[in-house]
Amino acid sequence: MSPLKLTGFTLTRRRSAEMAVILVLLALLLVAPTFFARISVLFFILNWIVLAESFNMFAGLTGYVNFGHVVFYGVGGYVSALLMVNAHASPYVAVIAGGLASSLLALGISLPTTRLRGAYFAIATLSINEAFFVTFDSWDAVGSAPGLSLPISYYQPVVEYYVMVVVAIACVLSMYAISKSKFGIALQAIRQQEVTANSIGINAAYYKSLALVFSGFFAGLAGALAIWQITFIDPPSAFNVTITVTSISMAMLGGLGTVIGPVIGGALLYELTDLLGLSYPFIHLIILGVIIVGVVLVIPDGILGASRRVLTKVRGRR
Amino acid sequence: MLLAELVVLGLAYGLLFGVLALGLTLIWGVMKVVNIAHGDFVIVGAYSSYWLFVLAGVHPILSILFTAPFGFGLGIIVYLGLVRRVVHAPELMSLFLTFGISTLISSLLLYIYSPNQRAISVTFPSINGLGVVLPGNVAIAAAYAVVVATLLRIFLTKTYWGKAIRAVTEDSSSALLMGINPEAVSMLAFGIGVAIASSVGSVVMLLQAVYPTGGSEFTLLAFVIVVLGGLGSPFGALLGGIVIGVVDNVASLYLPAAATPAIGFIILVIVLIVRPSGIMGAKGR
Amino acid sequence: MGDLLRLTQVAKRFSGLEVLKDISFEVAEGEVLGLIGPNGAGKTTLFNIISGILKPNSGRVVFASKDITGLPTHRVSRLGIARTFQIPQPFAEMTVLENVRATLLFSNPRPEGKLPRDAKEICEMVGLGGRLEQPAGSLSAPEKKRLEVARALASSPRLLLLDEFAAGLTLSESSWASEMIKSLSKDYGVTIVWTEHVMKILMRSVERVLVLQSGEVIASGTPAEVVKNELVLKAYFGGKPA
Repeated sequence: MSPLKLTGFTLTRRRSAEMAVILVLLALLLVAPTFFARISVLFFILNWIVLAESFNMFAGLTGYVNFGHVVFYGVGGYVSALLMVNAHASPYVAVIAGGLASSLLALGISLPTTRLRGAYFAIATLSINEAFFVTFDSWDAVGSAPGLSLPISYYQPVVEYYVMVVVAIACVLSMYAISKSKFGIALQAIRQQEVTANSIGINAAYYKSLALVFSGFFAGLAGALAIWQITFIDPPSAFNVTITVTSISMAMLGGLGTVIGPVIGGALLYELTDLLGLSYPFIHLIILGVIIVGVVLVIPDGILGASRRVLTKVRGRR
Repeated sequence: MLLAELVVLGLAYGLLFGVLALGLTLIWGVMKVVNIAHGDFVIVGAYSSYWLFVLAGVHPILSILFTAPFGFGLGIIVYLGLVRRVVHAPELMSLFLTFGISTLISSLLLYIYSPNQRAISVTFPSINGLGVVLPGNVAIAAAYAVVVATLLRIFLTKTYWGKAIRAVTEDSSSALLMGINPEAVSMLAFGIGVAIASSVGSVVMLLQAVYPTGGSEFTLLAFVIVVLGGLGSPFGALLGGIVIGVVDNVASLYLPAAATPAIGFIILVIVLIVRPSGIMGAKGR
Repeated sequence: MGDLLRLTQVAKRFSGLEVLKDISFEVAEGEVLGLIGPNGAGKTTLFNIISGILKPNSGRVVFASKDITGLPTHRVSRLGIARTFQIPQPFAEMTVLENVRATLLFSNPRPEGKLPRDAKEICEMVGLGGRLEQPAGSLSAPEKKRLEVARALASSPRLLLLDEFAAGLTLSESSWASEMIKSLSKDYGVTIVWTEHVMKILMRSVERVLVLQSGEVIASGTPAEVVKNELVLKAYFGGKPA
């Protein structure tokens, strides 16, 4: 998949088949509330897809790992919850504010850290999560340890679901648009050879910041939407490292750096994290650990990459 | 003399932290892999000592005789089974891999032993001198650190394999020309690194309570120290440990308790920004 | 002043070690300057300073009458300084054509520039016309060197820095290289600074040579003058004439 081959795009039979599948899925998502009672299941699948895709937006495109991804989710959730609890804001305003707050946070984090290379960046982000957890846990203005509960009047499952659908589509489309744009080419160049990227006139620090801002925006929206649905937030749920672990495993299982990979990974792993997570709290974490290790060792390019390789091999044989 | 006491305390803790960081820097130096699971191996050692104490009455210090070789073996298994396969892959993959191993270890411990904190109470008499009181357990931890650092120094300077580790750390391509087997050196370094982490875990059991997911704090601590001391430098790691130990303890005097976990992050960011030579100098990717 | 590049008393230390001491020289517009010196003389450090990868501890770098000392790499590149790396560093997963296209996309074309702005044409210019769709990572070592030049040309340079360009090339490859460099200067008006630790090819292709040793310029002049210089003989051949 190379964004530089923009010319020569033709609607082949395979492409139109793909388009048909996507349209059917979208139609199903739109009419789902009319026949599917457990709409919250779909809501959370989409929420995880947004989390995985927004992780992918930075890590998959730049090659840098942000181990503090959940911080965007938590801050987005907190900002929207505070607006709804204290200012009785419209939930739409609160959700967008949550996304914007997280993108602002992403900008702040990126300023000192985009100068750091590889492992240094990763370790710096590892430390962010703990700092946020402790701060929110002891900060009375944001509810400290007991957390915040939304007034019951905010609870509108079907509306929440449709907003979630819109955000998920926007997120996947953004990833698609970024990877096909000049911005995406800059990120590809940075991932493959950062020194060379700089030396051909690419401002690597700027593009990395921008990618993190996009990643933060969508993860913040996911956090805000989750809080709207759950109607409760506290530091252990908002800054839970498990959320980062899950986003990483979903994105990696599907295929890091691809547009559709995190969607596939998110859909596949949701049942696991949700059902198993509730009844056997730690087994799903063990499985996530196995998935991360296994993907790295067996299919580093994820399900999508691996199946593409298999397909080309099969075609080549014919 | 509260300040003097905190400085001495910081020194002692710093030595232990420094030895912990030694394990991380050894692995980095030889194979350029940042072992995010380093702290989780500390927890593995701590839990081993805890159960040896609770079930068999083995003193934590004595249990080092078990946790060190156990850690060494575990490290070699993890190296051969997993880490070996990403040494030449993009750095991203080794980060993900050790992160996955970290997740696996902590979640297995959670599943087996529950999230509860574990602590044992063994106290050594405290040491008095020059008007400064040092808790006995901390003094023992410092003594352990000095012994390990000395043994490691002898190993690295006097033995063939120790010299091989240093040669690979300094210049892997010319080490290869000298006939050093990089695979064996990597395996050894990983084994020693994990053995250090796991035996530090035994000592940690003397100082504080542990819980399954507490490993990331130790990883971060070790990393801050390693960055401060310069990646790949054993002496730098010890010095960095002492600096962090003292700063951390003295800062706790002036800062509210809630801010303590943030200190690590602040120090890390400052170190990363102030020491760009150590950061940019190392070939990151 | 016809100087395109002027270095004034540039010095660089790495943790106390002086890698460059007090380097001053200028490069005239359209010139091909050779920079020779043994390994470790500071040639690559000098290029890293000119191209903004490193900041000097002291001294100035002036390019086209603009002080570019310490300017970030991407800005230096957009002002018109391109470089090749001693060890080629292509975007390995992109094809040859994509490597060049990506560069064109981010470069800052100069209105008076004569270099082609078409990716295919640039690839053909450096003899990679038959490798357009091949991933850069799978090219042979000499082909990767050609790709380095292609990428550098795609960023429409006024000044081209070639780092150990002929090192590791076969005889026929390197004579191609020297023809190519001559043509870039003559036909396309590109100013060139070319470092090499093997002198032979370089000496045949450049008008002027600077000799760098242990971070200092120990001699300069035409190739013919420089090879007679005693200091150079001593540094390079241990005192014995070539």
